[in-house]
Amino acid sequence: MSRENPMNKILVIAIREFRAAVLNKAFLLSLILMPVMILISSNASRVAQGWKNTKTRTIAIMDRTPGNGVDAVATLNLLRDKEMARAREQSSKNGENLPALEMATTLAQMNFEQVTAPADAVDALKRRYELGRRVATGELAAFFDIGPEALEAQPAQTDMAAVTYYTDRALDKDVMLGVGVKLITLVQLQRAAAQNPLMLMRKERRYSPEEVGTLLEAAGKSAGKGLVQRDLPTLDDQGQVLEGKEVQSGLRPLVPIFATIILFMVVLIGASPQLQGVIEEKMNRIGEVLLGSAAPFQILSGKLLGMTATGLVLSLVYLGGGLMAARHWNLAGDLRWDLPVWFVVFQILALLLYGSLFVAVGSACSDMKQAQTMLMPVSLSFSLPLMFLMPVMEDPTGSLARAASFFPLATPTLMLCRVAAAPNLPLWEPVLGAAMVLLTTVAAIWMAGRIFRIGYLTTGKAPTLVELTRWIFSRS
Amino acid sequence: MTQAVILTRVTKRFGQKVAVDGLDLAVRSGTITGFLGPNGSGKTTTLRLITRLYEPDEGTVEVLGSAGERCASDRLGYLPEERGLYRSMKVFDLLCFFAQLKGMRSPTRSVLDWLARLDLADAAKLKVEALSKGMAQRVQFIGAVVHRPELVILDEPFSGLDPVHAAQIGDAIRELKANGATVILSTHDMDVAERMCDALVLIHQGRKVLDGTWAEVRQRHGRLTVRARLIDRPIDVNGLPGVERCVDLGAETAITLAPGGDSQELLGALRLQGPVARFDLGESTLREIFLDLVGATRMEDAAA
Repeated sequence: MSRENPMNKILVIAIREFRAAVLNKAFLLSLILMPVMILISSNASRVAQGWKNTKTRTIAIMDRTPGNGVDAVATLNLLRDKEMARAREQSSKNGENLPALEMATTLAQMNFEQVTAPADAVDALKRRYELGRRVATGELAAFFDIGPEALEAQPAQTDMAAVTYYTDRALDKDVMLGVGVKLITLVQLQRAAAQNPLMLMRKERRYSPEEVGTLLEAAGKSAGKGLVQRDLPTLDDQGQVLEGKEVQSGLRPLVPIFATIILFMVVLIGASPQLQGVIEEKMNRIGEVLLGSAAPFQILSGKLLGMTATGLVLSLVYLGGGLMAARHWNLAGDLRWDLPVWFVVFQILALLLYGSLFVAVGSACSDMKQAQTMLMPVSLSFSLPLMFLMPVMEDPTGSLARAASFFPLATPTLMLCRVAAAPNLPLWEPVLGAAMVLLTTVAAIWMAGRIFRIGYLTTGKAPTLVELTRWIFSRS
Repeated sequence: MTQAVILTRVTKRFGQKVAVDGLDLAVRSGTITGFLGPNGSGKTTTLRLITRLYEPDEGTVEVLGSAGERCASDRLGYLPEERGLYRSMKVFDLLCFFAQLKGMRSPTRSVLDWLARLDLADAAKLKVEALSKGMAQRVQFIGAVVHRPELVILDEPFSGLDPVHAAQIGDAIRELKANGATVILSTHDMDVAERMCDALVLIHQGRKVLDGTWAEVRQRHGRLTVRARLIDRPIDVNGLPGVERCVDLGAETAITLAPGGDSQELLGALRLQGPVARFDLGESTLREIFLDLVGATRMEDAAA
């Protein structure tokens, strides 16, 4: 039998804490549910696409512009046919499922009905009412009204919309964006044509449906590359200027938020049960048994070590889930190698810092009711930095971000957010931040240890601030 | 080593309250020493001082030859008065955890042996929350002794146990002593203390009021006692010779003789009052000595 190896006792307690935290249904459920939820959400749009209503929808368009109108129905039919032709081409080329591809096209499964427009405004309103009844009975999915002055550069009725969308649905993305936006662009193009002197040569100063279709497609293609964000250009080993890497604009803002939220969640899931654990140990009188076998510092260290291991398991799973999701969306290339390192550093520090505070509160209280009151300052210091997340992310090198991220209780979250949001953040800042949190953590563990060794054996009413201070500085 | 525990002028205060007041105490190695005292007397605080859960405000505590903080904790087994077990852990895992915490590297064999010995082999895979109070009590006892400690401190080890299992624990304690361990037994059960303990310590209001072997205690504080009853009338206790105290027990009277009191003279005096139905002569029990020392008032209250 070996005698009195302090590290052994810390490990024995850490292993028990780890097993107690990890080998239970709640932990396993959250461990499995989180990546499942990430996978589901990452595939949700694709899955939902499969469940989309395959019924052909009819959309009526009432065109009240003068003359022959803007040929909206002909243009939309043309665009739909082009989309479906492309889908067929893609299917034969890549062997992809044609019905799925057709369904993925916005205008597929849509019929467009041209509605004759009365010249009189009252009659037009009656016609809209009739169309509305057809929408209500399900005969039509929706209808659009193109106003009589839609092509005017300076309309007399300035409050009248160029295109009005009528529906009884809260949200029908395909109709609103797929048809509505196309109609607005179509009207804008035709309005420009009506003002274009070169169009005087034509019988009507309008583009043909084919021309509008080509222009709309061109506008759609150029919009994707209209604005590209890149990292700053750099120099290579030979002094040659290298173009900055193209930033996946969708991922860059998500990284700091995702990293900070994971860190926050892991502390919440990993460290806060320590509070309940210590109170339960006090209520079940296990404290006296443990203190008869190990020093308060050993018990506290073992608890913190076990909790940190639990938190890291959670972190790795969540981080892995995040990386898988990023890879799924082809966004993983935008991640920097140093981010996971800083994430793990600040995650461990946050777990130790807040874990020791939770343990200190738990050991000072006799039940959860007392703990809720005493926990308030800890909870506030824990959640307050999240309120600074957006301003810090928008200006990660600004004065506010710098000052807030060097407040030790906020450093793990805000410094991580800054590291993720500003690739060129000077190295000394996260290093100094980590060092300051480390010092605070050591002080918090020392303080928690002092409270723990007295509070753990104390029952009854919660101590006052004065009593807590006395506990911290008393001999025994 | 002849003394397993030496307390020298130990004082422990909690705020204004003095829980232990200048206590001098020595516990001989290889003995079973009974700690007695009324509730709030400072017994548990003294035990916590010995286990180093508390540090003394004054004086020194030497345990198994070392006076340093916690230096002997692995050589010590402690069963606290208020039991503490992790409810969601399995019995076997919990006992292995306790043993490992005390420095045992391979506790499996020892844990299984103890479980079998205390009729708990079938409970090894049960969770603590599924145990009866008596089973949990025995599990807690195993947790205190599984690592073969040199000093075992047991605070009320028999509470909640039926007579069969109490006897089992009693045998186990005697065996610990036979194997060389020193046992400190805190109990309110005077019969247990009288039957099992080699030495007795009575603590009252934080001070030691009695210390020695049972024979020494009886010699120092024991009195002759008589349980007496007359056939047709109650005993008139006024004027009885050589009597220190009388307590009316209803059907009979408990009479404690003063030092030097003569039982035959008392019998004669009773016969003058009427025919004697009962006259049982005996020595003071530990319970009587305890009550005597802690306070005559309490004795009367207890008798009433």
